[in-house]
Amino acid sequence: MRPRESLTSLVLTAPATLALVIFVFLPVAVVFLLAFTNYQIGAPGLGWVGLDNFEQLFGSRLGRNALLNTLTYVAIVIPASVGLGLLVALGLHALARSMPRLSDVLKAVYFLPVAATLVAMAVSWQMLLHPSLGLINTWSSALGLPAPLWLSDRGLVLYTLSAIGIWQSVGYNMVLFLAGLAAIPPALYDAAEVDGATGGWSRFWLVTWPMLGPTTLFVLVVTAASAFRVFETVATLTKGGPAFASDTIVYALYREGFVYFKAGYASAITVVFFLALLLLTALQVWVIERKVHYR
Amino acid sequence: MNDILQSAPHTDLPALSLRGVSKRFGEAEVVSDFSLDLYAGEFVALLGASGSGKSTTLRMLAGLERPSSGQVLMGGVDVTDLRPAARNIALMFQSYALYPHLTVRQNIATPLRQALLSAAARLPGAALLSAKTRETEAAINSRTQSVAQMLRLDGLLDRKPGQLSGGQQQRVALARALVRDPSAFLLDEPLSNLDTALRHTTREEIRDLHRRTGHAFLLVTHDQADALSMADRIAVMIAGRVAQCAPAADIYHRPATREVARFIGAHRMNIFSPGPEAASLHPRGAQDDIGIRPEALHIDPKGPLSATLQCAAFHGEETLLHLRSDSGAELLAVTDGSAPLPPQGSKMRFAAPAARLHCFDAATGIRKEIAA
Repeated sequence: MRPRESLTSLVLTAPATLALVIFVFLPVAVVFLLAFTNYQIGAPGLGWVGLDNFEQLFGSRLGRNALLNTLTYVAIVIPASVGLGLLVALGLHALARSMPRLSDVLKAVYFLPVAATLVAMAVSWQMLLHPSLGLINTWSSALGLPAPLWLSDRGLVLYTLSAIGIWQSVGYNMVLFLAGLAAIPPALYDAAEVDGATGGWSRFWLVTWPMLGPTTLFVLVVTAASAFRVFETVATLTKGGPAFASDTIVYALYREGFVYFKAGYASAITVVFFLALLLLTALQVWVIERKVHYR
Repeated sequence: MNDILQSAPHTDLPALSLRGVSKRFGEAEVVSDFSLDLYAGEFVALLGASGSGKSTTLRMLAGLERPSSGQVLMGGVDVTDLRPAARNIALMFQSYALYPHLTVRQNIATPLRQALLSAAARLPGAALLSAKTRETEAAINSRTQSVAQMLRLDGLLDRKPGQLSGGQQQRVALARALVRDPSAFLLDEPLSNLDTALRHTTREEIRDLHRRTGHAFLLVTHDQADALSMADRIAVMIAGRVAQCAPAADIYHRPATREVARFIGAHRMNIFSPGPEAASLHPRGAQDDIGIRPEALHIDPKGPLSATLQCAAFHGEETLLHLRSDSGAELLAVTDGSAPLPPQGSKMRFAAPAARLHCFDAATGIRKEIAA
C-alpha cells in the first residue's frame, strides 16, 4: 500500500480508535490499577493496599456469599434456559409446518420478555409475586396450595430470581436455536429417514443435535455471560436481600462502588468478574469449538 | 448412444414399480399418472429437464413423499404406505447428505446400526455391557469394511466428510447406500457435483457397481449424456409425464414425440413446420412436421435444402453451423471439423438421408412412421 493510502486509512480509523482507547481501554486499565488501592470516590488521596481487596472478596463471609449466590444462579439459569430454549424452538419449528400462524404468534410471545425492558418487567413480577395481593399467591391459595413469600423468604428468593432469569432468556435462546434449525439441510433428514432413523429421538441424535453444535456453543456463551451479569432483577426486586440471601457479584459491585463509594474494592470485584468471564468464554470456545465444527 | 446393454429378460415381478402415480402440491400437479416398472438387475434412467417432476417421482419411489393417488409396488407388494427404511430402498442424494459429525466408517455404518441395534444399544459404551451388542457391532464393522473396500475407501475410514474431496464424498454416499444390500438403488443426480474428468470415470464406476451388485438401479438426471451412457432404458419425463420409455438407441433414433426429439441429442433437432421446405425433404412434409438431427444434415451442392451460413463454431472434432433457411427458419448442422467452409453469409445446400428423417403430427406432436 502506498504511504498516502495508509495515511487515509489511519485518518479514517482514528476517531473510532481514539474513542475506544479513551472510553474502554483506559478505564479498564484504571480499574485494574484501582483494584490494588483503597481509593474511595471523592477522597483526596489513595494508598496502595496490594491484594487486600481480593482477600476481602474471597475471604469475607459477605464476599463469598455473593460469589456463591451468583454461581448458584448461573448453575440454574444456564442449563434451564438453554434446555427450554431448545425445547421451545424444536416445538415451534415443528409446529410451523402444520400451523404457521400459531407458531409465529407463539414465537412473538416467547420473544417478548427479551424485547421488553427488564426493569419494567420487574415491576410486573413484583405485583405478580406480592405475598398477599399477587396473582400467583391468590391463585395458589384458591387452589389450596401454600402461598410462599417469593421474594422475602431467604431460602426461596434466589430460586425466584432464577426463574425470572430463565423466563427472560428463553426467548432469546429460542430465536438462536430456530435460526440454527432453519440452517440444517433438509437432505440430511431425508438421509436419516432412508437410513432408518425414523423416530423423533433417533432423528434428533443423528441429525438435529450434532448440526446444532455451533448454535449451542454460541447460546451457551451468551447465556453464561448474561447470567453472570444478573443485576436488574436483584436491584429492583430484592436489593440483594433479605439478609444478603440474593446478593450477587454484580449487585455487590454496584453497592460497594456506587452506594458506599469504595472504588478500590468495587474495582477488585470488577477485575475478578472480568477475568472469570474471559476464562469461561475462552474455555467454552477452545474446548467446544473443536468439537462442533467437525473439521 | 453406443454400448447399449439389452434389458435382461423379465421373468419375475418388477423389483419396483409405480402404477398411475400422481402428486399434487396444492393446485399444481407435479407428476401425472406416472407408471414405470423397474426389474431386478436393470438400470433405468429418469431423464428430464429441471421442474419436470423427476425428483418428486424419485422421492415417491423412496418413500420420502406420499403420492396423491396411485400405487408404489415392490415385488408385487403394495408399499405405498411404508416408510423408506421399511422399503429397503437405497437412495444416493445429489448433495450426498453425509453426516458431517461422523467419520466415514460411522457414516457408512449408520443404516446398519439403525436397523440392527436398538436405541439403547446405539449408545456409546453399550457394547461393553452386552455380548450380543458386541457381536452385532462386529458384524456391522466387517460389512462396513467390505463395502468400503469395494469403493476404495479403506484408507479414509477415520476421516470426517469435510476432509474428503468431492469424488471421495460421492463414494462414501454410494457406500452408505449399498451397505444394507438394498432391493433397489436410486441415484439422484449423482454426477452433477463432479468435474468433467471425474464424471467419466464415475460413470464407469457406477455401471461397474451395477453389474457387480445386480441391484435394480434408477438414475435421475437432467443430463442426457449420463442417461444415454449408463442406462439400459431411459424414461424421458416431460411436464410430469413419461413421454417415452425405451432403450437409449430407440429414444435417440425413434423419438416418440416432437418434445422428446427436441430434448434428446447433444444438439437440438431441426424441426420444419409443414410447408414447401418440409415437403422438399419428404412428401409427408406437406401436412406434417419433419425433423432432422443436425448431425444427419450434410453439405451437398445438389441437396434439396438451401440455407445461408450465419456463423460457424469450431469445436475441434466437429464444426457447428448456424444457418437460416430460405423460409427464415433457424437451422443447425454439424460437419466434420476439418471440412472447408465458405465465408459467412454465403448460400449452402444440404441433404439428409431419408432414413434419418423424423415425421411428427403437426397438431399432436406424435411420431408418424415414414417409409425410408
